[in-house]
Amino acid sequence: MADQVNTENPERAAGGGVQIELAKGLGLFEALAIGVGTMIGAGVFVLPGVIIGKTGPAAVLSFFFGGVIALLTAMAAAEVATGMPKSGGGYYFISRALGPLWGDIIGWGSWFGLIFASAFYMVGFGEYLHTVTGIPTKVSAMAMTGLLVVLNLLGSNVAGKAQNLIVAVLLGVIVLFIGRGSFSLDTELVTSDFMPFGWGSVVAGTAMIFVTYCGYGEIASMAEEIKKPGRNLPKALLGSVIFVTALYCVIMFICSALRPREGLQSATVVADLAGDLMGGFGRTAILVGAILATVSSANASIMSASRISFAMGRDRLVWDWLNRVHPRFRVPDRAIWITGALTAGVVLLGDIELLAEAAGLLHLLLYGLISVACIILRGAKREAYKPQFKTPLYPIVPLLGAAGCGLVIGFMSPMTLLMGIIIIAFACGHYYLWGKRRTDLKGAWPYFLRHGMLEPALDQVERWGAEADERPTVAVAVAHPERQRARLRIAAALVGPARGRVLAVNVYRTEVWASMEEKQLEEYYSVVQEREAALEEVADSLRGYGAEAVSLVPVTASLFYGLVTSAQASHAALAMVGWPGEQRADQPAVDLVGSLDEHLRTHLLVLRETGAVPAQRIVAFPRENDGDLVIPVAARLANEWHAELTFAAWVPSGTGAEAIIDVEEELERRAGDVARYGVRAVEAATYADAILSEAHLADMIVAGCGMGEVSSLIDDVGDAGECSVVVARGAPGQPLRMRV
Amino acid sequence: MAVAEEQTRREKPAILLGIANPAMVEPLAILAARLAKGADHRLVVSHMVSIPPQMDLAAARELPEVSRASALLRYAVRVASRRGVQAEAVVEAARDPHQGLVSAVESQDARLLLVGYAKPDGEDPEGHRLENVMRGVAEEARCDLVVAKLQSDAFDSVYVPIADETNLPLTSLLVRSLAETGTRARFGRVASPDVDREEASRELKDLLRKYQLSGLGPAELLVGKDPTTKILERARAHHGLIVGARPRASLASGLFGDRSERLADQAECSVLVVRSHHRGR
Repeated sequence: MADQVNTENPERAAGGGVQIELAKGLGLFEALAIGVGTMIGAGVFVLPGVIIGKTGPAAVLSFFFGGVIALLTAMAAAEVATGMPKSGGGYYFISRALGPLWGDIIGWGSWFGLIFASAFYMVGFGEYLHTVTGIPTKVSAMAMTGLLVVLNLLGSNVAGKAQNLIVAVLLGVIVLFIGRGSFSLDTELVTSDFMPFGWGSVVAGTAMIFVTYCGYGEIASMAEEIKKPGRNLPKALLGSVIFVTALYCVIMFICSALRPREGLQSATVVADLAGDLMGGFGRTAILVGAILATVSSANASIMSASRISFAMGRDRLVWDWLNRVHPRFRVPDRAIWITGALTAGVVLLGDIELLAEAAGLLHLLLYGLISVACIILRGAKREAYKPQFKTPLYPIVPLLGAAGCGLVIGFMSPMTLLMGIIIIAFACGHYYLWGKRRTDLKGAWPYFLRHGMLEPALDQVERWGAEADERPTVAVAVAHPERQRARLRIAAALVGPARGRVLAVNVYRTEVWASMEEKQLEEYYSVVQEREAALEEVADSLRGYGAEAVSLVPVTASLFYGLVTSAQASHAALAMVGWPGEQRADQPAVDLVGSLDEHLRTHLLVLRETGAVPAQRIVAFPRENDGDLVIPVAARLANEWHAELTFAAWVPSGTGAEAIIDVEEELERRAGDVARYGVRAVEAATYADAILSEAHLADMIVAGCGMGEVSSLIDDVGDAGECSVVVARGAPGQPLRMRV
Repeated sequence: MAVAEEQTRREKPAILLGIANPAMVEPLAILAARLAKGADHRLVVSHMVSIPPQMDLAAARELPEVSRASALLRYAVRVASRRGVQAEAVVEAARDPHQGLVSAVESQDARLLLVGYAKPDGEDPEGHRLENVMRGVAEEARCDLVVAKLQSDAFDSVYVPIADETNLPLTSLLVRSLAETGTRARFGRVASPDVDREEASRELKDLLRKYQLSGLGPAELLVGKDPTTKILERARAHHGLIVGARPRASLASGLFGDRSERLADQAECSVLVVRSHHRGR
């Protein structure tokens, strides 16, 4: 995983200090144009007739469902592409998440998917050209395939450069068609027999038309060339899918409302309808648009197919022979030849429906697995994966995307499924016989199993199975539970996962217990009831963490004795008190904190509760003498609150770069298997200055110290602004057992 | 590189030297090094490698062109180093060469782009391709631009005709940077015979004072109907000529504008055509 994400910075080439930078030339508009341009290709002109024949006017739903699935998977694609913007697109994300076998499968699958898509576009081209010139469909399709292969072999990007123009022409033609068509609608044709063949036909229709949504993945595969990918890539992916879905649905509705279903079953139905609406001009415009679109889409598919082998080649999953770059034309000539030959072969053998379905199948497999990759990569919590766009409602959205792809695949024809199985079997055979021995690629799925599944499951088991006497306890000095929720939340976050107890200690002060008379006892019991009631008001929020809140009202002459005896009697792992301030009943004096520091044999936390709790940015300063308390406390809080966690270390000003690196490495070593954290060495004159400098950047500081140092540290970091501070003083020889 | 050192380095504005022609590497690198030293800018030398759409952009790393470009850039770095400037070298892989230069300007946060230029010879397709690249860069790069048509690496004296304020901040930076490394400058303004000479002379002095050029060399007012001829005559006595290009709004007819184009074509000395970037910076 180490090589996955370092794309923003140029890399140093071996020797000589010359950097190689990949130019980011695509802005938001260009990326949108690639997505829309690749999607609005032949499909919208070739498939409406075929699909209306199979589903009736409900074909609009087939396109709508296709759009919904595309949108769900596009969100996952946007997340993984911003998490690791690298060339290679779907192949790259899936191989990094699921490992080389799935990478191999999806690499070959994408390649064949693009070959089927090119062949589908070429047959569509042949159909349209046939209506104009009478040339047999397959002859013109083969000839145009040959021409595109030659153009690509020469390194030409004529069709690519013309793509924006072609898209503009297409959109103009489509808008004209929609505009004119909307004045001639017969909605009775749609409503009278909307779904003649049932829901099954609608889903099967989605299986056939999904090829029309294939282009948006091209945006993700060019992530490395997009400026500010964190911002532009999700906008381009989602924007192009939403725009195209809306356009398709409107076109399908208009087609269904212009003629009865029986009159729509032709591959050139859009041109025929345009002829009805606008005469010869309309028909010619659609014919020219469709011919340009098919050529442009096929060219884009051939170019993309030739690029896939490079990404696989970098992982040593295909033969070097395949990735030879022609010395004169500087293109991967062998990859282009093979792509062209297979496209031509598929053109000869397949009919338009089979080609559309086969391309759709392989793209559905690709997008479904990208959704799975999204779940795995986020759950694996690897440092290298930091997506700038996060799929909302994770993991529901990617799960729905993957399930939607699976559902549509289930409705495909047996012939298509058989072809898919053959391609997957070929990829598996190629991997086990050739690729496995050569590649050193590893997927993130073991980390997902550990951090995304096993640890949450263990935590759950721990909650279910924890015995009462093994439940960790935190003794918290609380006078007003409703006003001191922050410290209760912190305590609950620390022990909640182990179903621990938060002991809210509120001392009932009296001089001598023995002298308490009946009246005093009555008062005591009423105080106990009041405090229990007050604690009950906040107990619900603590139960959310899994912790049980218990009120304890010791009768004693001082807060110090009350706390110490409560903590010891309850075998508390931690005691927590508020920050010393003005002398109030619920706030300990500095000397009280000092006494606790000196005499309390358990871990001690002193909390300055000024910042937001739960905190979003936690900076923790582990110290050598903190009894290994800071790291588990900070990691547990960050884990519970999904906060950004940084382990920091103070280094005196002027420390050398190498020493700083050593300090950071030591922090990483101490952090052990804590998931998702950063490390930082903070240069400052004193430890307290380092804490105060970080207080501007964080919501909460967890500052470690040893026994006897608490009071002086509190004095030094007194003014930490809006940031909460937890001074964590460890008790030597008492390791804090806490799963982080 | 230590973080602090990297930050300090990044805080300095950069001069990006785009190298295309191996024959021009040495004089361009010398000029760039002098400018970087004089202006206390960092210097980044760069070469574009265009990648066809059939290839994955990252595959550029394996291309022989990248190795050749690296060798070229290492040479440029050595030349700059001999002039006391530690340059960085970047090979920019791009779909289009001009896109690569524009992208390099952004990624290096360059304040100034310096490129060499040679007028294409008749049917020479490579020359015309470069001119197209330059045109694209001139239109899209978000930084100041200096196009150098160099006859030699000598820059002991430069003639600086001054017409208006459009490019004067950039011209001033260039002249002051060259002066730091020993170049003498002479400033001139061509006025038509019917203008008030005293007024024109005062305006010239005010401009030189405003842009901190007045102490760097003598200034003269020339009178004539054809400024181009006058400037060419005066430039004969100097190693270099620094002329301002027209603003980018009027790029349609020529790359630099008619007068700058004629000066660049006909001058016998080296010519630096400067164009200030007026948007955002």
